[in-house]
Amino acid sequence: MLALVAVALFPLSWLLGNALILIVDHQRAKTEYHWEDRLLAGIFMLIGLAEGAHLGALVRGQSVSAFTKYYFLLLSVAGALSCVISATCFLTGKKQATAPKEKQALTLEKREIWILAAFLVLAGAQLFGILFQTKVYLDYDLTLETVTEFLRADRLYGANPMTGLPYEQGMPSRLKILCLPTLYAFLTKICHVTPEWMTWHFIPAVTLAAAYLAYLSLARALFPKERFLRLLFLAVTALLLIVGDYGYGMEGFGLLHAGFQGTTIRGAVLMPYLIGLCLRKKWRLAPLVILTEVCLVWTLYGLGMGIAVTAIFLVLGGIRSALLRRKEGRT
Amino acid sequence: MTLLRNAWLGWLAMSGEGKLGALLLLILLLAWLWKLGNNERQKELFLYGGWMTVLCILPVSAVLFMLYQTKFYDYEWIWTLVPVTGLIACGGILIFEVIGGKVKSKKEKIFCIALAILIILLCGRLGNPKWTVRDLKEERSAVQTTLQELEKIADGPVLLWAPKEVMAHARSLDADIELIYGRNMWQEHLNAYSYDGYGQEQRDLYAWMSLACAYGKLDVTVPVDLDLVGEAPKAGSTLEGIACIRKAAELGVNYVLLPGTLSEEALEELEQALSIQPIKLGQYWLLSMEQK
Repeated sequence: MLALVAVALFPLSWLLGNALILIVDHQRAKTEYHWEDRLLAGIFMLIGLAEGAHLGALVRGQSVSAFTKYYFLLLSVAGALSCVISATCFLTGKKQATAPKEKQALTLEKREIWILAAFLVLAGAQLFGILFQTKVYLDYDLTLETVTEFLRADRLYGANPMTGLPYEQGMPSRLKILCLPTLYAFLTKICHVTPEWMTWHFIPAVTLAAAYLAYLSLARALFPKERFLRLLFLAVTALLLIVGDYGYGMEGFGLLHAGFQGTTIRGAVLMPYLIGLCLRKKWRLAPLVILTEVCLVWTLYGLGMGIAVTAIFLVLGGIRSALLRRKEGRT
Repeated sequence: MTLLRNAWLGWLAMSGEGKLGALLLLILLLAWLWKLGNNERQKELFLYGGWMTVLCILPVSAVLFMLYQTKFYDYEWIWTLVPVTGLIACGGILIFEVIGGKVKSKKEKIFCIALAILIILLCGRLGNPKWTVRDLKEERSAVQTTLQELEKIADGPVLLWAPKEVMAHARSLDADIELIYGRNMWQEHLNAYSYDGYGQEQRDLYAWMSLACAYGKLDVTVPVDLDLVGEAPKAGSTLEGIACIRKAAELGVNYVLLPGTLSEEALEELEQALSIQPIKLGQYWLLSMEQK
């Protein structure tokens, strides 16, 4: 079942992401968005739908079963709508979203093969470590206890996950509304695996893959025409993630030891992707990333790092274009 | 003032753990001096990255970022704003292009690549991270075996009091087991997940269990440096094992796992005082309070 979920994740994410990109930016969907944009947008939508189901379950039912019901409902509706949107665009033939045609040859040069091999070795070693070791950083986290408690009682936040005893004074609502523990409990339930395997191994592996998709998107923004440099960027990134495995708060440390935490997903997936979007001036997808962050981590009343990054890029862009205009005016 | 201090100490701690921060500063400096960037996007990334790096290091702006990200998160997380990995990778490639353009022979190019990899590797801690993360597999496996044996013995719900290593993993291994206190007894940050706190009685129980594990005695003296969140028992005072176990029973604990290091005399004393026969369970002694 786990393999089925892992395999289904790709087409489902692609379908949802493709439909979303067609909706928000249909005129440029064909030419300026790539396969990694579609996959990441789809993954963010899956998280967004999980947040919707989680809030629904908190209001009505307060159980993992209620979440499962709402999530399947939302997935069915979103999946059907995505199919309709994609099919309509395909049939009309005008605005069909496909990956931009690579002008470069599909065959790799010798130096590209070497650098791709280096990247695959480094990323493969990271994946192996995540899947088969239990080197998890636990000091700031109780996700696994929360998932285990949700599944035991089939009740969301009915008891304190740290002790299993009923809450005396409760917990902060702003943590209660975050959807990750419920999503992990749901996945554990439908995949028939242990909460530990889902939370400490499978999810971090997905996070690592998503992080490399985000870095690929950033590489495409920085080196749009040089495939070799994009591959080199990924290989250097993989090396830096291993080297950066030395301290709490570093991207490498988070990805290798706490890939299930919202802060890791934000730091290693959402932010690199958002910065890539800002550099490519794809502002219409930025709200999706900003909203995904709100579903994952505690923010200042919805004002997270994503909105700050977008605002800073907008301001910097404004200043740069004003300066350029002034310079042109003088000449 | 506390936030200002945390911001300054946070940067010092970050730069002390590894040297990727220093490599980032070096790359930003070279990007500025050599005017790195072959296109507008690369230049924009360096402009953004450079400003955000400076603002994350300067304590006053760092405090503003810390307030913005909410006090729930530590200083490290304001660096989410800076794409450290992306900046170093992009800057490194561009610097390499500049240097590579001046190098002609293949041998020199290979030397440059090896040097670049070595510099990056030396920025880490060469497999000796400050934040040591152990492989938990064996530790959890041992705890799981103990809990499975306990479940076989236990009749009905279990409210457990045990040494720290068992309490740390019990809830994530078996949610049917309830604990008298959780990991937030010794990991302060976890208190942010709940408004509930612990009373002095529970803190005394934690202190006694930690000291009993360390010294293998029933009556223990409280040291000055006890790893405990909140008010610790007074340093130099004595915590009596039998009184603590009675207190635990009063708080509803029905199973106690005692360290296997307890001496024969201590176990006999326990048996006489509490009329409970300790049962050997793995490396621990189990007291079933329901025997009474």
